[in-house]
Amino acid sequence: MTALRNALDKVYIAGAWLSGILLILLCALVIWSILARVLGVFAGGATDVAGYVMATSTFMALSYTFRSQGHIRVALLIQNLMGKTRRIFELWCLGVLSAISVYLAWYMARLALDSWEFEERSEGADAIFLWIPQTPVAVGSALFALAVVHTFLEAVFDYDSVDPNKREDEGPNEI
Amino acid sequence: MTETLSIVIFLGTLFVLLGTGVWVGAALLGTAILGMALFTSAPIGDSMAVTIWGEQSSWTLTALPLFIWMGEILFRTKLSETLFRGLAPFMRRLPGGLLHVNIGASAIFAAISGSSAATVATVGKMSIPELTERKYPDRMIIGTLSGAGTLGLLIPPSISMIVFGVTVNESIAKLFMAAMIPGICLALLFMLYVAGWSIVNKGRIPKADDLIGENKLKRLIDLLPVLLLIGFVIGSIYAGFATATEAAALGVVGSLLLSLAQRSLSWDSFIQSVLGAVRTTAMIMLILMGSGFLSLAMGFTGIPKALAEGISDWQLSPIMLIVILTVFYILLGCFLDGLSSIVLTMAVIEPMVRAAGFDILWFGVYLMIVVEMAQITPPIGFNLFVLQGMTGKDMAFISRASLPMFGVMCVFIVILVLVPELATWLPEVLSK
Repeated sequence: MTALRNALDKVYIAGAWLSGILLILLCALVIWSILARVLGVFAGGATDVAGYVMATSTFMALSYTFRSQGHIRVALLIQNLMGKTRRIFELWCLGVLSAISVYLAWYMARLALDSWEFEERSEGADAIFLWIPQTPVAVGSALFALAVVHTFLEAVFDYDSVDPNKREDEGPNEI
Repeated sequence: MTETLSIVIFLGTLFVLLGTGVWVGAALLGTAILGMALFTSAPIGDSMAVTIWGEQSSWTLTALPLFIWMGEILFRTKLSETLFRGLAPFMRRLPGGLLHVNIGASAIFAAISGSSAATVATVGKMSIPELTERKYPDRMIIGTLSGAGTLGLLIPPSISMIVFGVTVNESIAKLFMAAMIPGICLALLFMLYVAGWSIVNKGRIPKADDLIGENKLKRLIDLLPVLLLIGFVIGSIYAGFATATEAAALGVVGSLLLSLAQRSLSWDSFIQSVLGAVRTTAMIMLILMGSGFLSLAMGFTGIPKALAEGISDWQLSPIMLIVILTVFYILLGCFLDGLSSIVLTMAVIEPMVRAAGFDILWFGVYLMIVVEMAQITPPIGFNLFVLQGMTGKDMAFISRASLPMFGVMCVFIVILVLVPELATWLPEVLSK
């Protein structure tokens, strides 16, 4: 169980690193589009590609953010609950999130599959096949679903390891 | 009747999911899925995927991760020190003395960072120990910081302004233009309050005579890189040279250069800034996915249309509407963080606000201020949490200290309603 947990946590962190590399790539793409404009070179679909890079970057970071308690929730009621009551609420929240994240992953995968089947192309200047950027997004949402279901199972079988009353994560980075 | 019942189930689900602590993004997605099932026969999952894909891969939204990253880089520089040392010699003689540094430094940092929590943390890092050591009253140190920190979301660039712009489909560049003058005015109003307070409470503001010999010119030169960065980022948008996204990318490069020049950029801090940025981005994007799909579902429920028509039927005066909305947002802020309250309400409130004849740029500025007012009032107020962590004072003290600033912001809302040109003038002039 612990070995599996550690292995999966490495996968989520790898997702975050990939997301970070894509963020740097996004910045480089935007700078390139500015330079191209100043120099009078045609930058092609740089703006469309920037959007795809951002989407992939976002989805790749969802699971890491979730595992490090980075997503926002309303804590007003649950923050005062301890022990068993808190556990019931956690199981309910994780159960709902599991269902929704699996649903999301399923339909993001279907979106990519449909684009592949119908050979849909982007409407922008790049006109690339849409399944190319949609596939990594589907992978990212699958990773998110995996992280949530993983946490849900931990809460069912080994609640101590996910007990929010005992964890010392930094919490969401509110703005 | 069944229609009414459906709406009750729909809204009830939203409240239950949010209230029981389901992550906000998922709560919105779940409610939207249910709403689609109740009110349409459209394929739910597929419309969800298309909506999310369209929003999450849009060019407009790319400004968001880049501005977040820029803030993460600057947060790790020695900027707090530079700002304090640079501004202190100039503020020394004003009534209220170095308290003005809190406000001035917040305003300057707000012009390169889009986050109010980061503004409070950065400015406070230097000024809390300095001002405490100089025996300034705690209550005023904390009050000015938490109040002026709110400028982080008002003075462009601003993360919540980008989120607002994406949600209501308005140009982010124009929103950034609209917010500048109100931001400066609010900062001046804070300073006016501090000056007034210190004239009334004579003798409670210590003198800062040790700063007399300071070489002002040298301090000004220290501030120059920051001011250049502001001019670079904001200026390029205002001059029409760059879109918000392009300005953000330039800002990232600029802040990397700045921290290199300060020798505060290490490989480690660079990695931390990137990971911090993707973490914050993922958090905001999950909420945006939820709200994007919820807006679609909300449209089918007919609630926004009914409310917009209701507003015109009730003959509410615009002033009355603004009073109601202000109270509503401050109450909402007792449960929700600022970002969630913006995205959650806009689907319903946008048609109403447009029907009532408000300029949407003006409304964006107004919304930033009320949401920030909610952020400096308990029980949930992120600026208060940040200050609690930094000063170790209890929540009640910090909230009381912030109360006068809350009052100043109320006064500013009245001014903004009376003189809407504060927000609408600059976008008009610059767009010509």
